[in-house]
Amino acid sequence: MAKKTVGGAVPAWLKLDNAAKIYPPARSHGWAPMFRLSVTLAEPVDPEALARAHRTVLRRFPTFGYRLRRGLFWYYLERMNGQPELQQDVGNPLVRMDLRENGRFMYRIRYHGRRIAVEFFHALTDGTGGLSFLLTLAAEYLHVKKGLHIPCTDRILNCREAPRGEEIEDSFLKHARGQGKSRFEKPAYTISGTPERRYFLNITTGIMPAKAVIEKAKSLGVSVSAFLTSVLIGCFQEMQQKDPVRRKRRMPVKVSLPINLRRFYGSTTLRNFSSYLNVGIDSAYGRYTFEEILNLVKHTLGLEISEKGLNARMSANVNSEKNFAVRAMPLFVKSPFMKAMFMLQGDRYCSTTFSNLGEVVLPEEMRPHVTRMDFLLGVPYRNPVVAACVSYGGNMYISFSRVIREPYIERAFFTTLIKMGIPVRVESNQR
Amino acid sequence: MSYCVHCGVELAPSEESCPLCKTPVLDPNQPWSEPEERPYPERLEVVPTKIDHRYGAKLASLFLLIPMAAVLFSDLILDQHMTWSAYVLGACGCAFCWVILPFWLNVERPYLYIALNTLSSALYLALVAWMSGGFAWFPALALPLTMLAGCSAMISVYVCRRSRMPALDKVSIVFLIAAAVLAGLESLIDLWIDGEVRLVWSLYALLPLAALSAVFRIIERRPKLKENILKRLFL
Repeated sequence: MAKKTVGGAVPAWLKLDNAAKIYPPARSHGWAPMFRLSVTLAEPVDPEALARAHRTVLRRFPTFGYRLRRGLFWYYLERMNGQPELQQDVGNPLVRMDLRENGRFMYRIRYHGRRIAVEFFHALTDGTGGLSFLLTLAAEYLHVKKGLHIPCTDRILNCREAPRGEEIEDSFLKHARGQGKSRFEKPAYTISGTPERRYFLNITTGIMPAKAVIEKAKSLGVSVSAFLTSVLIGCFQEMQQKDPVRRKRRMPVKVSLPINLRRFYGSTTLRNFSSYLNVGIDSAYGRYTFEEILNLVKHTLGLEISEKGLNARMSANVNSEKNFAVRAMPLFVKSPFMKAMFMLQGDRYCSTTFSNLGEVVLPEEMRPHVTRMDFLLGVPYRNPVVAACVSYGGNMYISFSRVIREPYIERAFFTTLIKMGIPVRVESNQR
Repeated sequence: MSYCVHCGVELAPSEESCPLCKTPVLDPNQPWSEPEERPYPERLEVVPTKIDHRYGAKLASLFLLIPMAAVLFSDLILDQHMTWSAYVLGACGCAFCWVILPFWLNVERPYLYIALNTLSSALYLALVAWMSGGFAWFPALALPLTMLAGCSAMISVYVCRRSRMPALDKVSIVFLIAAAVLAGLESLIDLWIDGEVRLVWSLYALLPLAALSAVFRIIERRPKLKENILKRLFL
């Protein structure tokens, strides 16, 4: 059946993309998969100008104006009017979003001082889509507030243009070739600690010169992501060796690296189109030196990050979605089943997640007005510590999100960088 | 700018102590003062819980008062003094301790709950013994059995909450406790009825439990065997 369209190109309803299908059933009252992106401007944010800019940007990003609804067999997205109200920022970001209180929208915009932050429910988009939304919002805000004309880039969309069809496509379905690959892996080591008070996420951000990190990675003959991932694995290995449970000391330490699939397929979708790769060491074989970890990470990334491998990985997920038995199962049966699968398997195969959005380059007209960018990940179901990284204006911002009280990993991570000669400045949301 | 003397990181002006090791900033040349703007505001988002357990417990307590009041008045009107209603009141008191109180206090205190539950059960049994006129069975049988159940529950909870103990060792000890409880149960009943202990029926449960306990301890100490079992039972 052809979907009814609104305004020509925007359908009245949409199927959830392949990656998003698991998130609505997996969320609970206290947890939902979320992430947050923010820009810090040179001047305090004017909420009225921001609201006007938001209205314009939402028209350009129509998929952000959909609400989540339950169908008989699957959740789906339904187009709605209006926009979510702007909110003052809080000291505990990424608290599970109550969609009903948020006007059914799956993202919320928060401001504090000079910062504009957007928090997204992962069923809506991934980091790349979210970044595009935030940068376009910031550019439009500067246009409304200061009358600046920011030229469009691949990440800043032209709000005077109509949305394009390929921006709302489910690229997983379009590009998956059908031959899947087993998703089974050995369960990974999980760090444990004293649970933090409910609904509080400890955030520690390390700010360092991007050049120093790039030079260090270059001197070691690896990419920045491989270098930082190796440091992170090394920190987890240190913690693992001190774990009192013998079984846990022998589990693999793996870091989940989200991979943007758009660059492999030239996709411009603003919905989810990313995969992941779990890379790490198997501690059952003994203790690894930093050089060994680095070598392993470098070669694993080289071997696994190929179009063929990633396509097989996404095809496995698409095949599950296309399976007739799965499709024919009513949602009230499928939903608890999917939730149970997510709880059992979700992030069981990795010790943490490290998402690197890379360097954000803004048009020259915009640069003097944007002083900083931040990227935060909400913690997944099982792992209490995750990290996210973004570079802007010569600085690299690595933010750790944590739901345990002990900052073991951040401390080990940042002190390791300092020992390597990379200066780090830290700030947090703790008081 | 200040640096943490332990971690070596530079601390943002907003940090009164190092967020990585909690070492306070002590810079005699530049004492810490509240900055104009912190990276995150002080206000925290509060998510109201959909189910207020404490409110629910209070409501349940009020509902529990209705049958209690009804039976008490009926008894007083019919018999002019409290007779059979004492059983119902005692049972309601037990139900309050067992079911409602944990939600009311809203604090995780398992040992306190077990102690309260043991005490309320013992008191209720004492009430039954006193009301029925034959108090002898209470100190000889009911009280030791209640204490046995309470103590075994406490030890089991203590074992299960020890985070450093491997899971299978915990299961093994809980099985041993269950075996000991069964043996204790039969011994107390034997002592009450015959005046001497002759373990018979409890052995049928005690021996398999002890054997299973030993099996779990052995599996925990043989990683290869454990890995093999896990692999075959993996879902």
